[in-house]
Amino acid sequence: MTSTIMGDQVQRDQMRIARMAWGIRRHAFDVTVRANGCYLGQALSAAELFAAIHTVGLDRSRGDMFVLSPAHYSIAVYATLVELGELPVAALEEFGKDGSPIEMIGGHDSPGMEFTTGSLAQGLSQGIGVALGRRLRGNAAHVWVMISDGELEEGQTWEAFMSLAHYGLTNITVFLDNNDSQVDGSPTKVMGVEPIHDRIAAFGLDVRRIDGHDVKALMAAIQDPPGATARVVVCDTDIARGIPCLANREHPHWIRFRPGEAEVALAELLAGEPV
Amino acid sequence: MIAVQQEIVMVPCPYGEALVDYGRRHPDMLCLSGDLSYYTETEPFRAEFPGRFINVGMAEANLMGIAAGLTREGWRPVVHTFGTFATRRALDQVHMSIAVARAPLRIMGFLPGLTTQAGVTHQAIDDVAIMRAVPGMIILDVVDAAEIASVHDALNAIDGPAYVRIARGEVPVLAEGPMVVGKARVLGTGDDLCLISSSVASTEAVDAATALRQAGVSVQHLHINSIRPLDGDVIANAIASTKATVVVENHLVTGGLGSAVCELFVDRGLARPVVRLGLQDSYGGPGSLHYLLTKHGIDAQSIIRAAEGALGLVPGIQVGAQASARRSLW
Ligand SMILES: Cc1ncc(C[n+]2csc(CCOP(=O)(O)OP(=O)(O)O)c2C)c(N)n1
Repeated sequence: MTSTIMGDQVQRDQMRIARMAWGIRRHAFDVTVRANGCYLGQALSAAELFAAIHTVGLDRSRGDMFVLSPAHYSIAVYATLVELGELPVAALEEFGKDGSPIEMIGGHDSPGMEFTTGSLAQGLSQGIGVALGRRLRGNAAHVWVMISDGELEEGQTWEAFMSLAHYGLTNITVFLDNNDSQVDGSPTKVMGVEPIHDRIAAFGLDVRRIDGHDVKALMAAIQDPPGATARVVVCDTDIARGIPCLANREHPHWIRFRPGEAEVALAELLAGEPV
Repeated sequence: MIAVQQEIVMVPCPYGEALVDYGRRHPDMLCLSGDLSYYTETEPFRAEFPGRFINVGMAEANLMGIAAGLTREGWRPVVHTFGTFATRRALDQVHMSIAVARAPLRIMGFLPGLTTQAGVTHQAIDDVAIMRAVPGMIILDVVDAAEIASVHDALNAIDGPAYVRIARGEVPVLAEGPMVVGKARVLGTGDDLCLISSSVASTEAVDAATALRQAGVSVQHLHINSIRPLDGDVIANAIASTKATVVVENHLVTGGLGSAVCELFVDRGLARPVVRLGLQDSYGGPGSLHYLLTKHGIDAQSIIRAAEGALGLVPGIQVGAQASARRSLW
């Protein structure tokens, strides 16, 4: 009986996350059309990751904090806030406009953003500072940090992993959106970052590598009891998820639709809407 | 009175082809990138010389160190990244790996000042100030199509490090012919106002100068693409032969061109009113170039206001209408 009730709850959460992820993609698509360009692929690759953290992870009542390290993903943050009902959908119309805090690359004044992290690979260190500060005060709130695969190329990311292990912090979880993209293409071609799992694990952290679109695996990574050290969840993702016509772009890092392309993209997106 | 605007021609992306052309003539030159090839117009070079193209990924400190090491083996690296990352992110490496050793390489810093909508993390508003505090660093600030195309040839004889803040995409044609390191470009002569400008502030200054001239103000206009060395004699002469000076830059007023010109005033004992326009103790922020230039008082109309004030004129001169149409290109 109890297990059925719990099973129902798990299913409801899964459904909610899948729906929210679709909503994130939809908002990002609309903004890309309206603003004539946006970091759309990042919202496509990280949609489930954002939705899962904000549905079954981050607990606002406990004072949890979400830290976005690669700030160009901020469209995914705004879209998540809209899905949560914390930002009116009309706010997205201000995206990228002169003087608007709904910035293309958000800063600390932007909704849902804690820090100014458009100069990449600085967010994890700041998140570690927050987690350390909270532990020093006996504060039980958790810190959720999202980083990108390109950020693995900056030395600061590895300095941060080193300190994460050294201080034995368990009040922080790191999600890596491994979408195999950076400005000049795949990191495999630009500057190799593999084997990601083994490299991070060598620091003594609790690493797991999952399919970043697999809602069940994301939920487990969030809800499984903490290990002895901080958990780093490497999420293998697809930058064209939900809009496959973008898959063969030479530069998927920033998307401006070509004539006729948005209509195809929308049809693909609508076909994937969860029922 | 509304001025009739002189038309400034815009040219798309002259840097990419110029780099290829330079590379053909200089087989010891290497092109380095920090995962910004597409955004720093180096893809044509990569296509033609894949073996001389080195992508270090997003790792600016490593990028500067590798470039410095390459010079020890006789290579001449040209490093491409955004100005903020070249200066703020890798400054100790710029000092210790490059400047102390006088490594003969070029650091190309894109997105000068307010020329990007990517916000404060990408707007290099302090790179000139930072590099002016690096001993021995040559500092250029190129925006005009001809100077962008000729910049590597202009630097060719310099056997030490140089920092070039450089505009990308559609760039203006301000003057003809190749640039010369240490030489100001005279865009107009006159004896009322000395107008000194750099980077995209120079297109604003051209618009302002046109309106001022039509209102009867005689304007000496110097466009500065070489900040170190500075064309001290020409600038001092222009200051001394006019009644007041306005310096306008796409940068903080602290430590940049305005500061360099004010140091010249002191060094040469010049006594004239001077107004510095640029970011005043402030970050740039979100928005388009025209919006940000206007917000921070670096636009043509602000230059006119500053000139009226410095010359003691009754305010009222208006910038021409075509100026804003062109600005939307950026
Ligand atoms: C320190 C720093 N260097 C360079 C850049 C320019 N830049 C912006 S995004 C990016 C690629 C980062 O990789 P990733 O976040 O994995 O790319 P994505 O998945 O968004 O394509 C680069 C190099 C930057 N923002 N910060």
